[in-house]
Amino acid sequence: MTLMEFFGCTFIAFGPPAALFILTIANEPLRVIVLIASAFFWLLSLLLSSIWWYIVIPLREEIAFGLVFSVIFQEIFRLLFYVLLGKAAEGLKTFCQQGEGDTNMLSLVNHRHLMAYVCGLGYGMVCGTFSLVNILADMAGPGTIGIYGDPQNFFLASAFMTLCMVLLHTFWGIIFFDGFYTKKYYQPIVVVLSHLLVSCLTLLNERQPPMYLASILPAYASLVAMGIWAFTIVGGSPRSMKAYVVRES
Amino acid sequence: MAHLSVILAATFLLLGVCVSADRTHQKIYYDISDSDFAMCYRRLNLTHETGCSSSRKGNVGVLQFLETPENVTWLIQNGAHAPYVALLTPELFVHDVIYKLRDSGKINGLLVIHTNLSDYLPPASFSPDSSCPNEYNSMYSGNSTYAHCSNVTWNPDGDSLVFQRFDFPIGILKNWTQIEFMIENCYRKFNEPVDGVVGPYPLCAAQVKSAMDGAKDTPTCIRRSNTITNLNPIGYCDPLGDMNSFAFIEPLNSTDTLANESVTLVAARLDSFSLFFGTDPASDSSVAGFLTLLSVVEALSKVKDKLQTAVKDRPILFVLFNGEAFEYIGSTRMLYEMENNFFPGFLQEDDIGAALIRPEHIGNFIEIGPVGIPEEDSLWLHTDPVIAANPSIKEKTDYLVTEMKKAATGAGLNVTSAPEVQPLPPASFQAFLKKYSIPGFILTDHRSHFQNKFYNSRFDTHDRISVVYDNVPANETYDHITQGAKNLAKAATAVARAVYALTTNSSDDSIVADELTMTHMLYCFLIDHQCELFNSSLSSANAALLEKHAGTDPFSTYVGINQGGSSRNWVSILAHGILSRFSGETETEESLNCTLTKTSECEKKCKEKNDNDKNSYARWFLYTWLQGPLNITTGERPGICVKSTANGSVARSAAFDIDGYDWQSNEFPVWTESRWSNDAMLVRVFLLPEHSYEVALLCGGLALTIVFFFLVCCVSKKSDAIFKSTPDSS
Repeated sequence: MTLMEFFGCTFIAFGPPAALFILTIANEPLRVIVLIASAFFWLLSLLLSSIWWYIVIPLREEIAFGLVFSVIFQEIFRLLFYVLLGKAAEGLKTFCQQGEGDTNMLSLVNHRHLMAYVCGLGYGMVCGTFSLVNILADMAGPGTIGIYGDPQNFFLASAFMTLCMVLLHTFWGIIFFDGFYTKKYYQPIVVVLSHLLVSCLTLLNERQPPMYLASILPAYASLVAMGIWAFTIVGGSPRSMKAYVVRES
Repeated sequence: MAHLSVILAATFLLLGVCVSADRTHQKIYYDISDSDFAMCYRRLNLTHETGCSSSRKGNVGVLQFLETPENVTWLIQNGAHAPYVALLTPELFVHDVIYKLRDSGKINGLLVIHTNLSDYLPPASFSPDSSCPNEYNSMYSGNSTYAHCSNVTWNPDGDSLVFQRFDFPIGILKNWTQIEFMIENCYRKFNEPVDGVVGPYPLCAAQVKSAMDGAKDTPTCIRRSNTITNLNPIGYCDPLGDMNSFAFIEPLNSTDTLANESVTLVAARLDSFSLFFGTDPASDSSVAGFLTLLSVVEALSKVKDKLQTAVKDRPILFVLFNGEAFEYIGSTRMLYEMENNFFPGFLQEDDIGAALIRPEHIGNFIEIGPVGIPEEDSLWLHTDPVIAANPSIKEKTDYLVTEMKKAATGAGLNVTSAPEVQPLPPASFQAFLKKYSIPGFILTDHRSHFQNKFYNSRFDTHDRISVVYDNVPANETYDHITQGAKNLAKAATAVARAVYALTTNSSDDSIVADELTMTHMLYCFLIDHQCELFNSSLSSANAALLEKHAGTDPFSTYVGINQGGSSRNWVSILAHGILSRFSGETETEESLNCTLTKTSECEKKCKEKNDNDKNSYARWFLYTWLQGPLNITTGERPGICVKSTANGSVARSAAFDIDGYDWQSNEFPVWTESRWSNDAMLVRVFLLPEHSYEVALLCGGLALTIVFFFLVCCVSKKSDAIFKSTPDSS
């Protein structure tokens, strides 16, 4: 039985996002609501991508075609959600004030970076779920991949790729929203380009034999880059980090 | 739903983690298609369960291809990756090897190659039946001299595999391409030991599933099935059974009761079995016998006019018994019906002077047993030594035998009496003799033990009874008269003449069984069921089903289950259709009062006739609308209305139909077949990952998660300190 493989991959792909969700989001209802709303917008982009793929019959077999459009749709819906949040901010504020006046709740609306992070994580989690759940379902059975000569580490690569995408979406969310807020429009453009780049790199997995490292290494490189950028955007700096570490020790 | 899954599949491509448009499932598993394997399944009797069952999810084991006895020894002694699923050559799939493998405890399933390739020939002999078939329902079971085949072991090759219980599934694989994949891409690539050492993981494994619902024994299973637990009753097993077919040359005179010992009963059995579902061609075990009987019916129908007066006093009853391989289900049931005055079923006891047939009315019993492989170029007559103790019975039996031999000599057939000290071989006749003393004989191809080395097995194929088509062009095979057809036609001629002589006390050498008809029947039952004879002997609805029936494999002769209705299996439907045509006559346009070009009108008339004729004589007839022969010019089948006495009676043990039947009385056979769900049978191969790799993966995943929890916890506590951001003014 490959049940251990199943759980191993599940933990790799969804353990870190679960940690983020449980420790930073789950205990605050408003964040959960925003996260779900964000996930719903990703689903809408998926629906549109699927319809688009279904309509354009001649290019159905061309994965690259669907892939590029899917990335574009995802980013359009991220923008739409940003616009919607802006419109909803006032209402959310009222909603919070009418209640107990919980400062934590208000802080979400007041901290735009926190809002961007919640949206990004929601986007990433649903994306990760959809990309891995089918594979996970097949993984639980008694067999593992390879009878047709496919590489053994397919599951592992899929899990790490999924994790990477979840975290990337989180960072992209922060950079993207900040770009529009501060009118630095090059930021969303970089997000779209890096999304396209990472996605297109996975096309390499189609080759025989697949080059998993060729897609995973650049993906993680861009994850690190995006992470650092997002870190600085939200006000972090090497100095603050150092100060924190020193204080802790 | 299909669209949804397409969209989902497409989506996950878009997300860039999949490598092709297939489900990952298809990259993991190599599935053997349903039609290319056959599994051993489960049956229950009074006290035991027999056959195989896997676990609910199917048994998984490392695939090991066993070609030689050395391989088997290696697996048992050195195999370190248990449990195994062994892929065996047919030659190795014999009693000893199976038991050795089972007792080693290393086996989780067996697969056997079953192709007609010359590389993998069957063993020299193989019969999954007992060495003493139907031993426990034999007429001799209480007899000190003959019980348990102590005198003659009828089936020396029998190893009783069908009556064993296996805790693991066993299946045969029929498609060479798939078997080759399993051997080359699965076994040789991953599992084959090099210098006695099996290579590193991943290893290739097989999953074999035949999950059975029934368990323990028939009484338990029937009780469980009848327990009403909710509104949707679930059954776990069904009684074995089908329909017997019978026909008379002429209807009986319904105004008189029959005289004792007046009826001549000519019988043959329809069914057989094998260890694997649906793979039991039974060429010699049953087909040769019942085809001979059908041929006898045809031959005698042609001289119906001459027989007409004689059969008024000495009716001839032809019977095809079904379920005989399982303790004489069909004959026991018919005897039960005769004893209780409802045979034939369309007559009622209170009918004035109804010609009900009771067991004491039977004067001669002629049974055609396996006749396909003549021993010493002769057929053999078996008579019962026990009832021969009665001088009058002995005298009548001797007379029968003499008439048969005389007829055989006339037909150019050697017929010899089997040694008189021998008991009867397993046959329907025994079910009658168990209670009644009836003179009769069984015509077989063996002197003592069976000639057939593959009795009731998957190897009992057409070539065993000399039905071979070497170097015959494909378009001529249907009409090609084989040696087997000649043999059987000769036997049929002899039997037909003997029956004629017994009935009329005169001989008629013009009676000849048609070789070509026999040829067609053999071809259809044993070679290819998409044939003219079958198509013309079926109703149009059944013909449509026949056309849809995949493959050309012979139809299974296994009796199957009877849930209480009058459903028949294919062999039963076809044998009955042919019996109707041979024993009856085709209604003409005048008698039907319609023109045959207007098919539907005639069909309606035929049906009306069947429904209307209820007066006591006419109800002996059934009017059946069959497709009939092909009109060559139009390419259509206008249809025929067959008027025949051929009728059916239930072949299902009375035990299931008697209220409050005492199971322990052992009066009737109580075989049942376990039910299984639609997805209960499966064979597939795939790779198994190394255990340590799996553990590493799981630990890695867990570690990653824990580290992240720790990090996130630390960072989120001090987020204000790290991210020096202030609340937005907006």
